[in-house]
Amino acid sequence: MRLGRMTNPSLLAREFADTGRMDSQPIIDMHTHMGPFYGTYLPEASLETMIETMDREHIELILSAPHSALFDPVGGNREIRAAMAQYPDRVLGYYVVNPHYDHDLERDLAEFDSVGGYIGFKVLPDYHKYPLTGERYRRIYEFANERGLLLLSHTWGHSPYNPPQMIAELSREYGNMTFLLGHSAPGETDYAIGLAKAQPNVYLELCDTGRLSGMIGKMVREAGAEKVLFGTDFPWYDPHYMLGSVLFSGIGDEEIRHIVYYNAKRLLGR
Amino acid sequence: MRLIDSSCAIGYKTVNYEVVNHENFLVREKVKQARDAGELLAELDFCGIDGAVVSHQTMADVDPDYGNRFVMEEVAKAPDRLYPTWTILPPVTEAQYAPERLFPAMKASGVKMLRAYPERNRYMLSRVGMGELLGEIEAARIPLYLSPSEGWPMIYEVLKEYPNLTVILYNYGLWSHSRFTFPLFRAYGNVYIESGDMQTAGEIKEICGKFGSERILFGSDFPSNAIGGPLAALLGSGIGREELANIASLNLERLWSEVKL
Repeated sequence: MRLGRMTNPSLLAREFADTGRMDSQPIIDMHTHMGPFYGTYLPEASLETMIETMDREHIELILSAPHSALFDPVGGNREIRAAMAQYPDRVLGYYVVNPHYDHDLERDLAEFDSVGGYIGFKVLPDYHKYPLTGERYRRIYEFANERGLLLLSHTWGHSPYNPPQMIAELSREYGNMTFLLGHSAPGETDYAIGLAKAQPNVYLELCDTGRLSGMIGKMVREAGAEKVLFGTDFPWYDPHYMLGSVLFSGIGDEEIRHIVYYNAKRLLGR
Repeated sequence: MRLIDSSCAIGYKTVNYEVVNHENFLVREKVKQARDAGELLAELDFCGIDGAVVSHQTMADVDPDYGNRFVMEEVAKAPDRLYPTWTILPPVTEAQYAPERLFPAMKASGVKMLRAYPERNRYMLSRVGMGELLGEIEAARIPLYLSPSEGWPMIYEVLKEYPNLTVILYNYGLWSHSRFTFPLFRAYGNVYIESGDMQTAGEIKEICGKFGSERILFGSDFPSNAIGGPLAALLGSGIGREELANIASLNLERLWSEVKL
């Protein structure tokens, strides 16, 4: 659709507006899930449908933690292993830790390095009602720190379980890990932005918060484009929605490319 | 094909800003707002949007009368691109909202759409609370903007009493609303949804397939959302050109043409 009035100088935005797709730049989505979720209806939640959407929207790669892994302590983490095996070039996985159960943890950690596609851990303290700095997470932090893995944690401002201040504490203690501030701590994004700017191993992640008017511009101005990662909660949310938030945020095309792709490439060593 | 944003606000909120994350769940964050019409027009131009339906933040934060005056001041700066909405109150207390006074004032000011904030203004949006106005709004086919930010029962109840009421749902939060909205689309022919919070993957295409593209109005709910997100979700939704044109502006223009003042 030709947007005749558009004053946004971004060529990537123009390309998207004209064609409904960003052909010239692939995308890596650092925060995705998979499968149905109790609280909301997701018409495109199956793996096959997600792959179709990825093809349509030029998403090269997703990093995923299926809903089953987030909420089923027994069957969890099977779904992502199957997905990574089926689509090794399109799906990488976070191993999800539920701090209330450790019955399979040592077995899974022993297998971790031999499972193709794991890039780190996903934790969900607000939902699991257990603090990010709690002792039960120590084992995976040590494991991840030894290997230089990623930790994607749900973060939320003023939360008793996963406020950004806890990421600050952990990121100083575990300097070889990379911490992704899932959602960038809505309600305390100013703190999150300051932390990402100051702490080399902490990154902002756009899911949810990136939609807010002016937010992406502020993140880039204050923390730098190299500290902002594209994430969407896909299949909850259509990656195009967040892409539009980036394309029309007023930042330059080079900064856009870093956010949607090159920062992730660098972190993944690909 | 024109693009009209069916939901933008001008002015500064008292508190910048309470964002509905999902219904009944607010996040307080600082967002980039538009102080006046000029700043909103700059946002619209940046995104290539031709026009916008606007409210004024003071409608909810100060008083409906106060905000209704301010929105007219701002719209007057660009009447070819900005389209006003007014906020209503129960005529039993504020007589100026009785239809025999409100409708001529709307006609004189070029206002074709209304909004209601029953929780904020502390009244019941119901036949008992303000039936003398709601029945006339329904008959005149005046679109009424309603947000389920405080929950869905109020919206279900008012539609049960006024099944032909033209309602535009907006500011409904991030989590998919389909289990609430699809039954309303099925039961009531005049229920529409503004697309600002419509983030769920595949949702636009699915609503078009199940209920028709006529039920969606492009909108951003700026400044709660940046305009670029909903814009890209629409342009990249994979729907046909005719459906895209309906959502972009034709549905809104059709609703305006049906208003009888």
